[in-house]
Amino acid sequence: MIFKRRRQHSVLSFLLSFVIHLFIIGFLLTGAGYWYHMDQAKASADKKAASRPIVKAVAVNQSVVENQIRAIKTRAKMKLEKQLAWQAHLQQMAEQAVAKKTGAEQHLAELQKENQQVKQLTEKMQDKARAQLAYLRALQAQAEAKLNMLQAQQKAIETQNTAISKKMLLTQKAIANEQSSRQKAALQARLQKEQAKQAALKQQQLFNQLSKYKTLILNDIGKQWIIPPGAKKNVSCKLLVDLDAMGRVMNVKVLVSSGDPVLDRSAVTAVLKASPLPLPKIPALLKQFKQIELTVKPEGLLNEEVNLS
Amino acid sequence: MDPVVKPRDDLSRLSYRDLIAVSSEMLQWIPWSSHGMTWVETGVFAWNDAKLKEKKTMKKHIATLLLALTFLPCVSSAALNLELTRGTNAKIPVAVLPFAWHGTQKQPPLKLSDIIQHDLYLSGRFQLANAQGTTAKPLPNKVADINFADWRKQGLNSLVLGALQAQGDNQYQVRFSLVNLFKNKQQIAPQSSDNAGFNPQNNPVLASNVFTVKTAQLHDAAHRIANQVYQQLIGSPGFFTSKIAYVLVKKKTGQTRQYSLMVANFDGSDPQTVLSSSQPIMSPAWSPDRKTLAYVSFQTGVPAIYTFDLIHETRRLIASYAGINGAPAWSPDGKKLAIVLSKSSNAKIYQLDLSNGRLTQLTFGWASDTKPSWSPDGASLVFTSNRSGTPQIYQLNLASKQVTKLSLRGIYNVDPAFSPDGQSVVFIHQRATAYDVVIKNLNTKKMRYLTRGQMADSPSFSPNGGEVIYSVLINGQSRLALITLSGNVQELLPAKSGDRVEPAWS
Repeated sequence: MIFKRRRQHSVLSFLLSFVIHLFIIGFLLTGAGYWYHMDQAKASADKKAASRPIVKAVAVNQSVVENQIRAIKTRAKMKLEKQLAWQAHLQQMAEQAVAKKTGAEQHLAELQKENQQVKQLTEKMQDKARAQLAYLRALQAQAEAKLNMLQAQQKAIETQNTAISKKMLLTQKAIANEQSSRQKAALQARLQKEQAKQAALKQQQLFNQLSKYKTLILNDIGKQWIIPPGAKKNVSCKLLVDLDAMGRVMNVKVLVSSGDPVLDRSAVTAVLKASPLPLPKIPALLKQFKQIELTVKPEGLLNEEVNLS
Repeated sequence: MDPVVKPRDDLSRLSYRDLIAVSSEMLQWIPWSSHGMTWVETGVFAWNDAKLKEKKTMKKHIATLLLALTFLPCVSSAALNLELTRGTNAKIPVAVLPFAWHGTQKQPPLKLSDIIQHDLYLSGRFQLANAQGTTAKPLPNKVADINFADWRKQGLNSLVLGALQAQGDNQYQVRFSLVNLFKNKQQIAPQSSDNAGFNPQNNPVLASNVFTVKTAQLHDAAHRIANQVYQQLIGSPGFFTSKIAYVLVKKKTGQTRQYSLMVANFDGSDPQTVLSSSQPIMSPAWSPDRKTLAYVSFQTGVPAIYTFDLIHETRRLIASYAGINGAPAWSPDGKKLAIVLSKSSNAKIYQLDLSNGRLTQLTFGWASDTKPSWSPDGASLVFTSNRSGTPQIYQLNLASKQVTKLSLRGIYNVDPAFSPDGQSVVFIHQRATAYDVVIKNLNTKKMRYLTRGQMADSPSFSPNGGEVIYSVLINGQSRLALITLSGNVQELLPAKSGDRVEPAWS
């Protein structure tokens, strides 16, 4: 049913609706609902708090609190600083260790290098020493070769000598047994020949000994003779050397100078340094070695005769 | 039957008549038949017999006479004749004893014996012994204190001893003696009739001297003593007071360098700066009188040759032609300089007369020629040239203008220097990665290595021709080194920082 309502121009209803709208707008604008909500929340919170135990709050002095705070702060700072310092210290130690290590490594490298150099030097010196030894051995071998040759000659002479002696003995026996004077004469002739041969052999023996000792003496003096580097090859000096019975050099005189005093002195020093000289034991030969006239001529070095390959 | 004639011992003295008489007498008694001989035969036989015996005794006498004659040379003259022709080239064993010190301070200002010992060692001719004294047996410093036998036992030939005495504030007296340890046992007076020749071993002191010097001259005094010792023992003058000139290159900030022309003692001690520049200095060369140094300087931006008078400390411009001006070399008479100029497009060697400045071209052709070095007789020059394609050493005869090639091996031979006796030339020879100092004898044509496996440069001879100084690259640094010709001494001269190059030995 649709009521047909009489339109009532009611001012009252208009005013009422206006007030209600104002109220609503005001309510919204001022946020009263918000405040109400907060009140409610607070009330519920208060209710909750009221159900918890009550905390006994003590009133504290402000300055004490500040001091304490300051103290804690400084302590914390110090702790931090100490930590930093310790870290720095550790770093420094680490760096030092590294430096030491590199230093040690360098030092080690230097030592190794030095060691290497020393090794090379010793090797060089060893090589030189070995070369010198080889040279001396070669010299000795050369001298020995000469002496061996003389020795061999000596042996040959001796065997010849014994053979001759035997022959002589036989011949003499034969002479004694022989009746025929002609045969005797022949045998005597043969004996004479053999005697002569024996005498010759004896001479050769003496000569051999002479050569041997001459070689030995020249070798000994030569080994001691340091030829001055500037000495010319075609000059020579003559020395007169006096020896005693034991071969000791008593005196050295320069009979003819080479013109180079350094060469003269080198020769004289060589003779004096080589004392005592080897001398033969046979008196017949020994008396020949009382004085030696030595001509010194720098022709070359001792090892130039030797083939050192 | 008793024989009428008594048998005579010496039948050889019998005459024919005697024999006939004997035989005729004997005939009475000899039965004819038993021997079947006539009396004539017997007599003749007896005579024959006697004569034969006579002959035999004669033979014996002749034989003995002949034998005696062979012995005559040995028996008649008193002395045995020997000839010594071969010796050794060993080092002379000497000892340099520490000099006695007389002064107020505990230590002497300079250890003279150390310097002398080092000098003698560097010459390569001496075997130096380390002499240690004890409080019980102190080392002698006077000739009278020497126990000759003791020192001889150590195998030494000579001793050097001396003393240093302070005289006032800045003055010292140095005295030394060189003593020969080997003297005769019998001291024969020179005037005695027994002394047919002279007796050099009577006086053991070979050399002795006294110097009075200031402190600054002590070092030099030590070198002078070493010179005298060398002269007495070797026979030629010592070179221990000689100087060397070289260029010192020091790296400064970044790429810049400082170049200094230095003069020092031959052993590298006491270096003095002659001049210093930030522009390159090269090729120092000593004049024959050792008073002037010629060198190349880039201080004007381009190379020019100058000479520096060391006494007056003045400099003179010699050559500044267009292009290269380099490698000055003094002639032996000091009147000319051989220089390298490229004013005619290629580097050629010219001769500059110092008195009138006249220039004469010496080498011709398209190749580059450099680094001339005069022979001591002034008759020829050696130089480096690439006229055969690679750098080689050539010799130019100044009179005949003939050029001969000296370096016959290798593809790189540079930096020649003539020896003072004119018999050899030393130069740098490349083999594989090494640049070694080699010496070539101009007479025997033989080439010999002095160094092995080194990076060597610019060799120069010592004044006595016994050793060579050169620059060598070691561990990235160029240093100076000495080597004897026999190769038995090789020594690096002391060097702190910087490179030392192009040494020239006065």
